[in-house]
Amino acid sequence: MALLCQPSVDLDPAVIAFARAASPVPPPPAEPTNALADNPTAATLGHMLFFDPALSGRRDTSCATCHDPALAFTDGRAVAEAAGSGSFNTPTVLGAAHHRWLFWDGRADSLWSQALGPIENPIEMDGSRLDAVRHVAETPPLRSLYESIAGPMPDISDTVRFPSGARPGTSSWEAMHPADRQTIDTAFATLGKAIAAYERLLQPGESDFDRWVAAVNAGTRDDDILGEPAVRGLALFAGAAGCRQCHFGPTLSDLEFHDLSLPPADDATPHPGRGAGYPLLRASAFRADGPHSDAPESRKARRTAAIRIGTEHWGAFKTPSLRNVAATPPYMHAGNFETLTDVLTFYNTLEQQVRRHHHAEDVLRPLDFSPAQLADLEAFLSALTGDPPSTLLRSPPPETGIQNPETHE
Amino acid sequence: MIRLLLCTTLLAIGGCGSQGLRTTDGQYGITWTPQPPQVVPTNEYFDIVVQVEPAHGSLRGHDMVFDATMPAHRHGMNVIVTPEQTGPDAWIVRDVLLHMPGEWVFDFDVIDDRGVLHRAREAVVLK
Repeated sequence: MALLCQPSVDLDPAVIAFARAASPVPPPPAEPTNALADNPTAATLGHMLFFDPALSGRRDTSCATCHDPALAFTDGRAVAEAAGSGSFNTPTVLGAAHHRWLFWDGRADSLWSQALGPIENPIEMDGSRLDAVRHVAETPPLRSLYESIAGPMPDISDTVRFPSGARPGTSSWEAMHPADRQTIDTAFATLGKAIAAYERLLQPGESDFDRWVAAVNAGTRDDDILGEPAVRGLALFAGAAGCRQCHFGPTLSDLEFHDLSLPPADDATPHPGRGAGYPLLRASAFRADGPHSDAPESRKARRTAAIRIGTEHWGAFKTPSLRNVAATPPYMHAGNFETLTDVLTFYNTLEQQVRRHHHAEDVLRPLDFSPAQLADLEAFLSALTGDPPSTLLRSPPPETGIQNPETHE
Repeated sequence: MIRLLLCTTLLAIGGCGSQGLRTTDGQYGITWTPQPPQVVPTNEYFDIVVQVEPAHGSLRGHDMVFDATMPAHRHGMNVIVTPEQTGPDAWIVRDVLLHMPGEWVFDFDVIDDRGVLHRAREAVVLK
């Protein structure tokens, strides 16, 4: 007679319900503003562009430089280091397609819009939209893919009309005819939509937590899959710790913004967070309700137009997904904490909080947990590490001939 | 006094919304129903249909404003909602987003033809 595996930890039905609502990770939501979102040819082009350092000003930095597949598509640094030193920790691309807003401060409202930002950011890739489009136009495999999804590549061979290095904020860009700028913007948006199509394939893989939930759903709960500490950690996460206030659903994030009153890293000037990201979003030509959106009248676009910014958003940052969290140190928007233990210690005491104004939201209370409880919480967080995407998706496409020098594999 | 409405899964079977809510001065009754009508969702966009019923002798509602806040957290919604009038005493509030579980406070402000505001308030707990 077979022995049935008995649950080792009593779990409240609400905890089970929380877990079932958090697994499995569904396919990415529909993306009406990107008509290429689920186009395989666009994903192929995006895959090539993601690993292509020629999109950067010095032709030495690709998206994959900071979103290293060997590091769960992060860079392992506190803050990004590329053409310059950034202010923010590099978030993983895994599961990014599920996010409502992109960047820690929400300055983009779509994956395709996000993909365009670092290309021109002087402290990231420091390239230009004009050079990026020209690179695609002059690289036959890229041009062929581009034309198969977007029609004929515009003729930008005239370097007087289309000067190298032109991007908003440069005199060469401002001197261009508005129609020519529009031509470049449209093609540049297509590149972002292609990169997003590739990134939509980078889903969080199945984790021990997902395997445990699947067993629960099948009526064969098996706590050996998670281990007792992680099961106890789940109970705390969804219960007494209150983590679920902001971390819930398949991404384990509410996808919105909160102010934890974190201490500024290295005594840096506090960043306004959402308070600074919102004006950047409104100024972007690549937003969901903007001229390059494929659905500027969609509900998604209307939701961008209806963002409310209040005083409580100053210093608020996006709630990160906790999928693969153990594989993506350091933590918080500025890489404030090196380890998960450090993060949990912060939540346990809140002793390092710095209140910068009296309009901040008031969600957190010190956990005051024992070391054993904190260890259980960390065990649960570690059980959220998923299987990586396929080797094919984690590698530069062979047809590019790119040997990514940054890869740690 | 704030009424408390628990929008749990169990209650959702019978639908979650409110009837019999009145403005504090008793001048207007408010009936609100989430769309789809089963449940007030956490962190998903949804619509609210609002019916305003003037008490006998009351002025008709000229306008209606909706807001939702989490007083315990000291924040409100992250979206601006603008009710759209769909009939003489009816409005729809589109794309409401309550992004956290916990206790939210709904305010339905009826503004009469003289510009006087009449508030009905209800607490809604999201699991």
